[in-house]
Amino acid sequence: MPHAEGSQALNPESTTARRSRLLHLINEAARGLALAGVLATAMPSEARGQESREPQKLEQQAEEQSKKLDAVSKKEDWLKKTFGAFFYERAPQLRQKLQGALEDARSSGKTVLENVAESGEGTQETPETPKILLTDLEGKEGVLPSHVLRQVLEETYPKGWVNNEVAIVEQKSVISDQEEAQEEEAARKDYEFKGEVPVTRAKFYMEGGVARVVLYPTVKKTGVKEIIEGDVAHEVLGHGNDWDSDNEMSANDRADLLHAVYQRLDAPDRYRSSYVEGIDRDISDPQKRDYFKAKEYWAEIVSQFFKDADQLSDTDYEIINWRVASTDPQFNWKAASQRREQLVRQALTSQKNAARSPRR
Amino acid sequence: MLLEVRDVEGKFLGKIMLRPGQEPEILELAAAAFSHFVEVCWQEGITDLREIYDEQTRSYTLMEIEVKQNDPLYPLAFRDFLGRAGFTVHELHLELETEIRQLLAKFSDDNFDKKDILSRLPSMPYREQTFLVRKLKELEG
Repeated sequence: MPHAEGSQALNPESTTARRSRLLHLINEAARGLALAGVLATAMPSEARGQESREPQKLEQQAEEQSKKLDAVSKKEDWLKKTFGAFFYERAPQLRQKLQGALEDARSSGKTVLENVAESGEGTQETPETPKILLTDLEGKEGVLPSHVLRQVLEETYPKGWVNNEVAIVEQKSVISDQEEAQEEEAARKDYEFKGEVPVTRAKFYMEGGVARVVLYPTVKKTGVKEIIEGDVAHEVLGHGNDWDSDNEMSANDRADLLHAVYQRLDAPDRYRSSYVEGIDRDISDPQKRDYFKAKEYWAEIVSQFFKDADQLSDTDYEIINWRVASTDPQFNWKAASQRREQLVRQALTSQKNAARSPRR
Repeated sequence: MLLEVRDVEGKFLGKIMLRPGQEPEILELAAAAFSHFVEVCWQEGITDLREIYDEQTRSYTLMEIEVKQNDPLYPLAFRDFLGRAGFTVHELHLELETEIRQLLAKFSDDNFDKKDILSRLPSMPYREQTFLVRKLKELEG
C-alpha cells in the first residue's frame, strides 16, 4: 500500500527522532539562559510592532488603526473592570496616558502608536536627563560615599531606570518620635498589625513626576549592598519604573505591563515573598488588594532581577527583560551585579583602611 | 521550604528546611557559626517587611514588622531575613526537579540531552528549571 505524503510523522521512529531533536533545541536554549545575562526579549506588545513597520496602503493603515484603538479600549476596559474606582484613583499617569493616547488617535487619524512615538514616549534617556541627588549611605559595615552610590546606581542599573525617574535618594540620620508615630498611625489605617510595632525603613513619594526616596535610620543595621539591592532597588528601580511612575513608558506598554504582572499574581511559579503574599490577609478589598499586590509584586521581582535574575521564573524574567531592553538593550544583569559588588566592596575596604592608618 | 545558604564569598554554609511553627532544621552544615545564627534567629525572632500606601500623601512606606514562629509566612520571611543579613540564599525547588525528571522519563536513557539535563538538575537555577518545565510541557502538548 502506498504511503500518503507526511505519513512519516506517524512512524514511531521518526516521532522519536523529532522529539529528540526538539529536546536538543530546548536543552541548548536552557543552557543559553545560564550563559547569558541578557536575552532577546520575547514579550508580546503591540507597541514593539513599530520597529518593523513597513509602508502600507491607506486601507490597511485604517484597519490597523481600528484594531489598535480597539486594543487600547479593551485594555482600558480590562483595567476598569479589574481594579475599578481604585485604578482611577491610584494610577493617574497610567489612566491619563491611556486615555490621552486614545483621544489623540481618534482625533488625528494616526495610530495610537504613532501618537505615542511622536510624544517622545518609549524613547531612551535623553542627554539632558536630570541627575539624581544623593546623600551618603550608611550601613552596618560603614558609610558608602554619595559619589560611589551614584556610580553604583548609574553604572550597574539600566539606562533610563534611575535618572529621570527618581530625583532624590536621601538617608535620614535621625527620625523624631512624632514622625515615627505618624508613620505607624498611617500604617495601621490600611493594615491590621495585630499588636506588632512596625518600624519604618524607607519611604517613596512622587513629587512633580519624579520620585523621592527617603531611607530611615533603621536601615543602618543592614549591609550597604543589601540596602542598595533591597530597599533602594525596590523603591527606586521597582516603584520608580512601574506602569504609573515611569516617565518613558508608552501608554500601551503601561497597560501591558500591569496586565502581565497581574497575571503572575496567582501563577504557580510566581516569585514568592512574604511581603507580597502577606497582602492577601492585610487588605480585604479585592480591587485594592490586587492593585497593591501587582505594584509590590513588580517591585519585588525587579529588585530580585538585578540581584540574581536566575532566582526568578523565566516568565517573570521575560517581563522585566522586556522593560529593561526598551531603554537599555545591552544591559547584562550578571555583569552589572558583579560590578556593583566590586564597587561597594572597594569603597568600604578603602574606608576601613583609611580609618586604620595612623594620622600624620 | 529548603534553602541553600552561602556566605558573601560564596562559601557553602548549610542547607536548612523551614516549616511554619517548627524550628529550622539544618540538613547539611558546613559552618557552626551559621547554625548558631539560625538558632539565635529562631529564639530572638525575625522581622519581615510590609509596604503601606498613605492616601493623603500618596506615598509608600516600607516598614519592618515582627513575624511569629507559627505564621504561615515564617519560612518566606526567614529566607528574606537571611538575605537582608548578607547571606546568599537559594531556594531549592525539589518539586520542579521531580517534574522535570517525570517529563524526561519518556525519553530514552541514552539520549544525550536527557543525560545532560539530569546531570545539571541539582545545581540548575530556578529560571532554567521553569523554562525547561514550560518547554517540555509544550513538547508533550
